[in-house]
Amino acid sequence: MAKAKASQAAADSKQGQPGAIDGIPQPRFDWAGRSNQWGTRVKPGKHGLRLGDLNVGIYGEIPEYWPDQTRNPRGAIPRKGVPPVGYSIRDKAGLWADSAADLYEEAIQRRWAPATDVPWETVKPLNEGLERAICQVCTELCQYANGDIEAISSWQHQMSYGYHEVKQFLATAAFDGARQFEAFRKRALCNGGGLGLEGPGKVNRMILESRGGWSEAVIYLFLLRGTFTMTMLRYLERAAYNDAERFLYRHALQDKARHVTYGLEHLQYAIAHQEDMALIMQQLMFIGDRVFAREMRDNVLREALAVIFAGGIEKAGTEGMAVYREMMADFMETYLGNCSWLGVKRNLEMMPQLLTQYVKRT
Amino acid sequence: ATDVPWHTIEPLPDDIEEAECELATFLTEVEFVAGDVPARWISQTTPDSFEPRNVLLAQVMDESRHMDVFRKRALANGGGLMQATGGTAGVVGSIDLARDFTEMSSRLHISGEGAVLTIFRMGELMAYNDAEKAIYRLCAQDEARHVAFGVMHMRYMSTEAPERHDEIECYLDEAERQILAGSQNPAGNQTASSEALAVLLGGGRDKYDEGFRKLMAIRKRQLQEYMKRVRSAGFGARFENGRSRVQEMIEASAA
Repeated sequence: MAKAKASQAAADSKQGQPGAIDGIPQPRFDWAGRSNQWGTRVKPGKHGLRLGDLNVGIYGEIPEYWPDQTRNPRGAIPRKGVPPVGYSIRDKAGLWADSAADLYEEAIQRRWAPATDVPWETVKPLNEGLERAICQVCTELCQYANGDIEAISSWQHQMSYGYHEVKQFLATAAFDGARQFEAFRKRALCNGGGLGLEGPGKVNRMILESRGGWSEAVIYLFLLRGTFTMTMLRYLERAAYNDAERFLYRHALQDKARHVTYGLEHLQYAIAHQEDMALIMQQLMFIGDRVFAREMRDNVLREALAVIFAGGIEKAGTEGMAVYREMMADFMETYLGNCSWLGVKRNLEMMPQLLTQYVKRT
Repeated sequence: ATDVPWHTIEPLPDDIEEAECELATFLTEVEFVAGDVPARWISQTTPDSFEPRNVLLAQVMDESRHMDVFRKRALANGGGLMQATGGTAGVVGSIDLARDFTEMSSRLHISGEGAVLTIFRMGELMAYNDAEKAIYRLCAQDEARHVAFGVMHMRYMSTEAPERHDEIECYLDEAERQILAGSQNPAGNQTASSEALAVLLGGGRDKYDEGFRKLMAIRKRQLQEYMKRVRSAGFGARFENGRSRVQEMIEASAA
């Protein structure tokens, strides 16, 4: 009894001290008081508490090179002796875009769900030729989406944690690809049609096989193919046959616009911070244009688009093709305009005639 | 940015805010393991399997959102980021180094995210305002999907690939070694994040012991839920035939 009372008294006297009770280990609290910058209080603004708002003080110092090979969050105190995870993209010029944080927030805030947001009930039967053409275009858009998904996913995990804004934005871009795949597959299968022919896939292959770094992939994925996809979606929206299609094309266009914005801003940054980047881009686009032109030689997409633009097979060869040529002219104007904006010289004489035939010359 | 009621965060006592920031630093560090790793596997998965690819792509986006929200929490209330844990280093047995999809999924979904899911579900016990409650609730919702995918994949393997049972049992052996000992579990043994959790659960450093008891209850729950998942996936025999020591761990934590 005396022993029990003594033991109780001892326990009582230690109460309030961490680890005072038997079986509870003494805490170390060696993490307490360790911060590179304490006292940070970021408040939500008109658009909420955004990722870019966190870049204050040390948390906003984004160095040109990130040597840390671990997942240490930017601004946190690194732990010494942690084996590296192994990130190969450590130069800011290899991935950065000033708008990455804002594009990430926009992607999150403008998300849409193909299952429930698209007014599928507005899709009504169309003439067979038209339905087949729409299904074919949707099939090819699914293939483009697959290319986006695989390209982004294969590079994203190689990017250093110091540039988390870009990693986070690319996570949304990859998800946009998944949504695009889902949405266009649904359109192909919801109105009595089905999936069509696989596209040539030459541009997809070029994107996936690029080994010169993420910037090279961006040139092909966003500058070249992204601009083409945006142009095509814009024309498809104009030629949509129901509210569901209009919704699909408009929202896919909105998503794609973010990707192209990132692409252009990243390439702009890369050119400004890497001496010969503009020359490298010239070389890459010389190759890329040719591969793109070879893909466009395939008649399937061209004819499907012409049928959609004309409302059917009957006038596809005339009215439909006229709109197609207008679309390609628009694409070339935007594409060359983007190159010019980036300061990358393009020589029309060196570009494939299949593309330059659409250039409006003054 | 907008779904979390950030305005409900009021100044907290220093020890609580420090614990919040330590936990948030840990979570912003580890959440994107679950973003990077599936991304690598997605790029190697055929488009024919678009359903699981799309699930993993949704996971990558979820994890980028988690990385975002915990960084925001650390910087929203007078604190800051603290010391990284290094819990996701490239060491043998880590999620990064898995060379097979099922191996990766067992470590990531069944073990790692399963443990984190239990903690997020306990959010009510450690949240100090509506913003934190919302964060834990929404994260739990996301994490539950990821774990469900892992369980369903393993269940599929259990019925469709019996020749791989022994191999998968080895993956589960490795996962169980990491569950409490590894640093990827925020409630694991004597880590900075587990101490921070105990402070939050107790209501302050002076109530650490009370918080530690709640942490023990969470650890027990993590293990019990892990067992349920593995049974659901068709590998429950390991808990009856003596291969697994999880039941012993549960009894030890209850003692």
